[in-house]
Amino acid sequence: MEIQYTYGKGSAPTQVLLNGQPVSTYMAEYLSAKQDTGTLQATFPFYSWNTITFQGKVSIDSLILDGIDTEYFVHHGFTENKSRGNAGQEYVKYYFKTPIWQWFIEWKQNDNSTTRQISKTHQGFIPL
Amino acid sequence: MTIQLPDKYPKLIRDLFLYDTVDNSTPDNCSNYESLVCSNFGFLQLRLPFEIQTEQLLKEAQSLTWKDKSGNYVWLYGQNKPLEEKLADGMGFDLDTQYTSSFKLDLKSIPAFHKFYQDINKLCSITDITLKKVEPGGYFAPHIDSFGNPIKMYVALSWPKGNYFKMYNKGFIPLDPGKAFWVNVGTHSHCVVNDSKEERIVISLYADWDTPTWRKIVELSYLQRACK
Repeated sequence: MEIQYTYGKGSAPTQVLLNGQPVSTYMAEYLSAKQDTGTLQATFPFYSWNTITFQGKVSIDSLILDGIDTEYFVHHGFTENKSRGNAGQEYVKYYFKTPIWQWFIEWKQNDNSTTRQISKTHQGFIPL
Repeated sequence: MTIQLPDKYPKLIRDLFLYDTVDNSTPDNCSNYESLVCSNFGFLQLRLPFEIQTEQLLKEAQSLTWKDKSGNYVWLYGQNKPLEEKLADGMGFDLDTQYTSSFKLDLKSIPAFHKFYQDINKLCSITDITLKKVEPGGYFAPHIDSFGNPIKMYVALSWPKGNYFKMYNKGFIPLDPGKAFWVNVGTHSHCVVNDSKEERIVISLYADWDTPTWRKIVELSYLQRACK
């Protein structure tokens, strides 16, 4: 599966981890890597949860998994201070499940459900 | 059923059409209206007690000025507020507010739609009617309609071959001119594609569905359903 990512301005990444392992030791390889973008080819088990962690002082502007733009999902990363967002002082970590099309449709469906909309709009509470 | 779309459509849509093989629009064991609505059903073809005058409606729809949402949207009937407010805030989700609805166009210019409105409104109180167009090659990415009534009625006025309405985990809605469908758009992700060379137009309608007459129509439609 191909992974494409773009760092935001001012990012100082150190490395990318896939399921907790550096790309070099995971079943993955860089197809390209520049200062602010990267493309990886990686193998993940079918129908399983996985993580991608961008280490360093980073912000993530875009994350395209298996050719599918995950849009505003980038703002739902986990950071070192237990908050959610696309920027961290130490890391930003994302959870996703394969196959990507199914996981992303379900993630968006849940994120836009009426229950969640009411929470976001009226209670300021964002259930996971 | 699965469909292989051309590469010009986003991969999320192509994958959904290709890999989501579930065709389960309604469960088979619903005993009445409540159990169907609570079953998380996907869609149901409606057996309405009147014939939909599709040709006249289409002619009238094509004669209207389509200017909103890049010329793909006409608001026919709905709450008394500006369209911008409706698009920004949804369908009146403030449960404490009493909303009133009215026609947005001169009724003299839309006699067929007025009759359509009257026919439906006898069964349940309509809250919103819009017309939606998708140009050739156009699409709506998978989404749910989270504000307002979770269940919507769709009637296709034109549906050229190559048009699809796909609902995740439920199947393709077999829309065709003149057929009405009750669709659970607030619960299930859905997506439309116009992979034809002609535009397609549908009527999209919300109502206060909870009337005894409407319940009977839904129950009868469920018993006579063809798209199991």
